[in-house]
Amino acid sequence: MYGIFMESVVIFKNYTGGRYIMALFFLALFYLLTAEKDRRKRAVFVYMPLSLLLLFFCPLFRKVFVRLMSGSGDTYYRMLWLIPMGIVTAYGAVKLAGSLEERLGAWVGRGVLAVMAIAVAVCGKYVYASPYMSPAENLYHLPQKVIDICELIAPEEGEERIWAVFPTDLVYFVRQYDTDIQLLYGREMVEPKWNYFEPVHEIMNHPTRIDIEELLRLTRERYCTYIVLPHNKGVSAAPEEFGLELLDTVEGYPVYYDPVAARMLEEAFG
Amino acid sequence: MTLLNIPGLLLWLVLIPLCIGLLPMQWIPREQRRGGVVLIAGYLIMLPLCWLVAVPCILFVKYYSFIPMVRIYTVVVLAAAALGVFLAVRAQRRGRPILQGISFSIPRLSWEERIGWLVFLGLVGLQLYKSFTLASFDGDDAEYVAQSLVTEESDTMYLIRPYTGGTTALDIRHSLAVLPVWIAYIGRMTGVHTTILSHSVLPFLLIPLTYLVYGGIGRHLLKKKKKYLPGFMVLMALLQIFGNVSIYTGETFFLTRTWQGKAVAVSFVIPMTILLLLWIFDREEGEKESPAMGLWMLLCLANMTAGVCTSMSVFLNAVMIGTAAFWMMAADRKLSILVKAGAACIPNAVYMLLYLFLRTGV
Repeated sequence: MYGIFMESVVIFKNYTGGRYIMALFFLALFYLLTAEKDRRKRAVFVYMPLSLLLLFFCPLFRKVFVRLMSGSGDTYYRMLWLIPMGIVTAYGAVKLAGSLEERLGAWVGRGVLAVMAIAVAVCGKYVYASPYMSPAENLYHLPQKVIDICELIAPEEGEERIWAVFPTDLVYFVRQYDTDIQLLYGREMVEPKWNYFEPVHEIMNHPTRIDIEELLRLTRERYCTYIVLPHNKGVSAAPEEFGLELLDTVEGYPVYYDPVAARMLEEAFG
Repeated sequence: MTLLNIPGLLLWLVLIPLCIGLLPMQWIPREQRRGGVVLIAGYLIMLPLCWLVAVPCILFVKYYSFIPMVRIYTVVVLAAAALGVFLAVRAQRRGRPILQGISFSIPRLSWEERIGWLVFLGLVGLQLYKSFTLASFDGDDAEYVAQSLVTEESDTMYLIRPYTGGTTALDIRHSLAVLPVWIAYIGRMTGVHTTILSHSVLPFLLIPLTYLVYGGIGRHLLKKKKKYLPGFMVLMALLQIFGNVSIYTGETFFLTRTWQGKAVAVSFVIPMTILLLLWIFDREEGEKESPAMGLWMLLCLANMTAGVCTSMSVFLNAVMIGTAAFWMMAADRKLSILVKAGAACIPNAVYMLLYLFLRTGV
């Protein structure tokens, strides 16, 4: 039980990201505990958050949660979404400002709100500075190179869907643009934490060099007619030696058509 | 997407939800009948209706299940919108308008409040601008966004792996959370590519919708001190913008994955549930002349909307409602609150049982 409790502590720490914005929430919560007289507001903004926090750290509850969520404990942090931290923080600050304004004057109240706004900015982390954010290149909010590659290989209206292989960094986006392009491996193989094995991905994910012969053996078995190679890795041999045709190079990514796989597909399915 | 798509988007994302939102208005207290509440109520009805139509199609239609879903849902949604308008017109003719008089004049505000509202609007504007001009990378989009596109382009629901395109047995884990199907439906009706819809259009709906909910909470909490409402809203907006302390926070989900079911659950459904609880608890206090039944109905619908977003939020919402109702019962010494809250969670129980049934095949 102690181990489960400590896991919850770690999840809580990770959730707060080691920033002090959580301290603002606790300050507001304890202020409301002493200052909020309306019992309904106390129920929703003091007792409910405290109870949910207790529940979050309760090992028995965590066991029930994990059981209900089919054994997955990775999403336990979402329990913390139920605690209205933002509302409690803002309401506590506004209530304090109002109370001080009544006793000490309007400027003190305004000052409290200004200090709180600055504290939020200092203790928090600006979401738009996140490394996951980048300028949108188009309305799809997908990398333009992926769209260009997809436009190059996508089947025409009425034609059969195609199979393709993309480098690891592009697989997330391809099918958000065009689902007529099917992938030999997708995001599920790429995420290291899921620990799946896929032989084509193993070859494409080699840190320095792509074994073209082995790659083509596997892709042709599965009638994969398009291969997009990474822009930053070497190859064991020139793909053209094995019959591949270079369609274009898009932002450093060579895009190949495999007529051998296309012929095999034609022979197998007509 | 072109400018020609904009009227369609306004029709399906604003006008129709507004008409549907008129449906429950006569059963909720008069002071809560505002334009923003109508829009929110519209979504609390429109999304569960999508679930009620989509899930039977997913479970019982073997091939091209999206086609009957689109047909039936269109009829249902248009009928609901027409009924909402009919009820509003009838109430108006009887001299009992179901909306408060909408005033287009700027209310008398102090300079301080005006500055506060301007700052708040500036912060919301910043969030909308950034949502349009910045792309946020999230691996889950390979599932959620591709799922909408697969549905729209292949006319099948949850039978094709969004990651690769290979066929699969019915994806039970995701098939009850049908928000991607709703996005596919809006894409089909408006002709907008579902990825553009998710990444570039929906934030313009979901971000303001969330602040409407926060505005409702603030208005309720600061009923007697309205002049602090702009300050509350500014702090709420700042807390969202600076809430990216980890990848797990609701604030991070709200502004980086706005279109995903999880984000809608944490930023819209959970705060809306809190707002409804506040309204309900006030009603239960004794003002019996105002109807509370509509609020309980909306709470049920909020629970169903949680199910549209993610399976987990069905459970989470029930935990929150149970906890809040317990403390209200203790505060008011009225067991009936707990009983009614339990009744409002019946959709959650049905959903969870269906989920377990489908997963385990009991």
